Amino acid sequence: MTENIDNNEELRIGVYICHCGSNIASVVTIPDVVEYAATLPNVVVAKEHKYMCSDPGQTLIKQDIRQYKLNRLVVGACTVSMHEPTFRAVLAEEDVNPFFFEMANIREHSSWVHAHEKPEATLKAKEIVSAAVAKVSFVRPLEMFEVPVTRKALVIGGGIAGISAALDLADMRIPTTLVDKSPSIGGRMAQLDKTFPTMDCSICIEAPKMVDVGKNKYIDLMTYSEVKEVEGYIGNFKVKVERKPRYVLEDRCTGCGLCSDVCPISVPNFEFEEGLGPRKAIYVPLVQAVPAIFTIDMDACIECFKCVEACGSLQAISFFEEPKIETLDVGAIIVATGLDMWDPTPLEEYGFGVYDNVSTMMEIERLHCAGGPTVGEFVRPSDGKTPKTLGLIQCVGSRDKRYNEYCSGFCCMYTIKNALLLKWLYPEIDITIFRIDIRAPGKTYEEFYERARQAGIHFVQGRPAEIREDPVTKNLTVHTHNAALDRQMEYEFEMVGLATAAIPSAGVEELARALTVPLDTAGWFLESHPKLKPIDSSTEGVYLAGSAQGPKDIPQSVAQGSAAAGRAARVLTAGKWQIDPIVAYVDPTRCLNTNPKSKCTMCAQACPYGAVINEPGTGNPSQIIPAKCHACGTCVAECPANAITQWHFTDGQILAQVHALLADNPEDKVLAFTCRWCSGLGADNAGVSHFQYPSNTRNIMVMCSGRIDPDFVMEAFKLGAGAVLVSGCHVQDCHYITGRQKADVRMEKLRVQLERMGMMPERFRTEEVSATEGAKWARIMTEMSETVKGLGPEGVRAENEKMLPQLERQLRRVREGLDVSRVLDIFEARLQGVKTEIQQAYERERR
Amino acid sequence: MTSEQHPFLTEVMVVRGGKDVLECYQCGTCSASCPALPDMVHGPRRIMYMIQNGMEKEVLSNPDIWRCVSCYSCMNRCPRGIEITVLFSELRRLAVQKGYVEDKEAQFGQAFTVTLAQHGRMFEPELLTRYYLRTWDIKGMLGMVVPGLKMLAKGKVSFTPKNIAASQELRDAGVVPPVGTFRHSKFSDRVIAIMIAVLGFVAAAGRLLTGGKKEALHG
Repeated sequence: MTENIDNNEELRIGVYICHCGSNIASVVTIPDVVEYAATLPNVVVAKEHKYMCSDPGQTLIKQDIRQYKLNRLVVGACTVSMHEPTFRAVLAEEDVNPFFFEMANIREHSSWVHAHEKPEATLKAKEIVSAAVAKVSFVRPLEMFEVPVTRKALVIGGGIAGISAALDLADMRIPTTLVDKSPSIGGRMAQLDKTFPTMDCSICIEAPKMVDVGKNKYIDLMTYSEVKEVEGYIGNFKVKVERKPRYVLEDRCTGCGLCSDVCPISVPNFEFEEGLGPRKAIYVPLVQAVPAIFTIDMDACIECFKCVEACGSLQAISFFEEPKIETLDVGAIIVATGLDMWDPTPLEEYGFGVYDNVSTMMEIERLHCAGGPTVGEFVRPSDGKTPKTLGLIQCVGSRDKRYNEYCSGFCCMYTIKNALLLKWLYPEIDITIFRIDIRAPGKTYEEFYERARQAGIHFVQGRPAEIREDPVTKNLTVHTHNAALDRQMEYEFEMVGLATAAIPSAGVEELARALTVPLDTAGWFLESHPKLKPIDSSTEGVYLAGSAQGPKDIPQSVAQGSAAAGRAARVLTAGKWQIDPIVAYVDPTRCLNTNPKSKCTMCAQACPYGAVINEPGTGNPSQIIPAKCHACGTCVAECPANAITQWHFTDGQILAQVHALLADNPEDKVLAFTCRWCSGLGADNAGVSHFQYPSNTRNIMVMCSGRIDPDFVMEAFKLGAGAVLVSGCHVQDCHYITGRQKADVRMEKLRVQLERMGMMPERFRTEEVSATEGAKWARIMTEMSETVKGLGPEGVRAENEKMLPQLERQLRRVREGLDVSRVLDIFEARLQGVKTEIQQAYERERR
Repeated sequence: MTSEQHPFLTEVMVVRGGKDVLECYQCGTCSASCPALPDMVHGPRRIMYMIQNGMEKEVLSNPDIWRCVSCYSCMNRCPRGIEITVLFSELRRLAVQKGYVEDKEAQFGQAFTVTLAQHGRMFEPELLTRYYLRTWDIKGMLGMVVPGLKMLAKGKVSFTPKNIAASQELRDAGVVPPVGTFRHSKFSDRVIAIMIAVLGFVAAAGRLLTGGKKEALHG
């Protein structure tokens, strides 16, 4: 019988049932399943083995492939998470397309969870195998496709993380462009005086690296520039970078500074000195600037041209500059945009911006820094005198639900460092640190805290309620509740410092959009997996380093810079990169946008990865960029024209499984859709933990709950299913970011329709199950099984009959989905035959 | 939430202002802000900790919750967004409801609330009757007779209660606690009913005798 989808190839399916020692065999009667499998359409071989995954097991399959010319493989064994790669490799080794394999999980989903219902477990195993055979009959041969890789990197952000990444990439001789929006690289670290816990001079250890970057022949430095647009995909990004006009020609300026000397305009240096010191209209933000090229701040410049005069024959200044867009072709991108410091003005009770002598910790940093605005003399703003008493307050804007909920991570150490430093510079100074907790997790950090206590720095456990200023002396009174002494106390200080929160760098929202990388709820770039993939972003080929991903200290930033370089190098040195082919595909003949009047954007809206080229109004159909597609299938389910399909998870393939599982006694059954990740693994977890639940449950797995079309659910009810479950990740954990969210909206609409048709609400449920919630899975299966049993087959049939006319009307377009027509034709024709066999088996078990 | 939680904590978490109680990380901003702290035993910081640890007796029997002046400084400044002031008013209610507070002031407060719940408006004869029936402060009651009569004569207090139309709405909105929150004995109700009848009779008789000219008798 030739039923292969695309050509007239005869299907020759081999089915192998594994004993898995006694894991499956002690519950499921293996020979019965083998005997049953042999009767399924197009199955030419059905065998069993004690350990299918072992070498002898695999050899058996390979021999049979050769002997019986098998071109499809079904293994009834464990979970896809365990051995899908194993059996795909077996096929590949025998020159059969590896995607012609389907796993029938009769262990986690049958023998392990129905251990006390052996006949029912055996029957369920048969039906699971039947569904796997059905699916594999309709899959297409897919090839991992390869894209070429441009052996170039882009690093966005020239702070210590970006610098570390760029230098590592350069060591690997990978041409790297480093882009920074400031006139100089260096980031926050350049502004620091000393670093904890070593008390290294910050710029002293950073400047050599900055100079390295500037001189390195593999690094192209683009400062005063911003990334505007990113197109393409891993290995093949096209990035548009805007070079802002400096009005100074980079190839002529020598950094001599004569222009700055004669410039008559001074403005506060906010870029580097927190506004505490001046700079000229033509300036470098810091003396150690890399590149050592000046920039004109046109908002300050009065165009007196004295700088042009001073520059003389070098002629490096040009007032005719325009922003320029440069396009870069790169294979990988590293985001290292760093952090800014939060402005504590909204915390009115602390009086920042109102009281002269309340400063931020960064301001204090600049005031005691030898390269700072007061040449290292630590003085207070109101009178320029060195304060004899200093209060430092932690958690200003951090750990605060009103502003930033997170802990900024480095401020305890940062404050202790400043306190110690000032104690060394001014031994008579009296310093008190007000804290909620002290966080000193890194290497030798706790010891650093001890040094502070040894140095006589006072610590008060009590977050100050308010600060008041004496209008004459400009001293501050800090009101707090000292927990250790258990009383309210007022502390007078000549100066107060606030350890303000770290916040994401200004402008990251636009960058995130350009890169199609999401930000987390606090605005930091979102990593692909918080535990196992903290450097990858969700967009393939884009990596995160440093505080861009969350506030962190210098060693962590350096480590992440190197890690990102490593992750990027994997791609950049590979020459070619493999893309998983189970991607979505738009049928251009069906896409509504081929009509220029249509403005459909459903697929683009469904995709959190920016993998859709959607041009409504142009007459061009939407297109999926395979290398960007993560294969969630959400666009497939959202498309109103049924124009999109997902390879290896076509509508037809999924409906084939629905039909196979509900072929017999559907009224007794609970049909559960799971995703490949959380809920699928949760169902597996129930198996691994041996949580028992009733056996009248059947599973179908898709990659993401976002893939689940209401048609699947309605077809199940049309076939007579007792109950249907749509399960997936917890909405905030969805592996495809928004797939679950979209599924929820869709399923809610479906629920309303189903209830209007007269269905009892408990028969359709949507649930969130994480990979560890095996117990929850078992509970849900039990509840739904009881719902079905409570209603009884007659009750279910009665409701389904009532619903049938409406369901058929809703399903009138189901055949538009890819392969659905052929699948339904075959199943509807074979329904009789299959039903009889399973019916017989069912009756045998019952006797 | 979890079964290990102390029932008092669970109870507090469902009253107004109580849902974020577990968020408190003992920063002390509340105690630092509190103008009444010098008169308190514990202060709001420790009260929060004690609630988190289910220390019902220590929380509800100490005078701190009654020293709160509702200035809202703590609640405004709390970095966890805990509605401390609101919670303290609920703690006061819980303290009275659970019988931790039995002094005269508490009895007066309860009598006041019960009367208010009945009529939606104050009715002094009932208020005082309930109060004295709770405290059996005979001496006090007798001492009120002369001033009471004088006030009745001048029309400063009314003979009959005036019910508002929407007393149930007042209860629904949570402005007064539901009837039955505070001890409310049937005996008191009967006494009050008799008293209202008597006063009403006296007022009516008075109006007849004075020809309706005394305004006080219409009150």
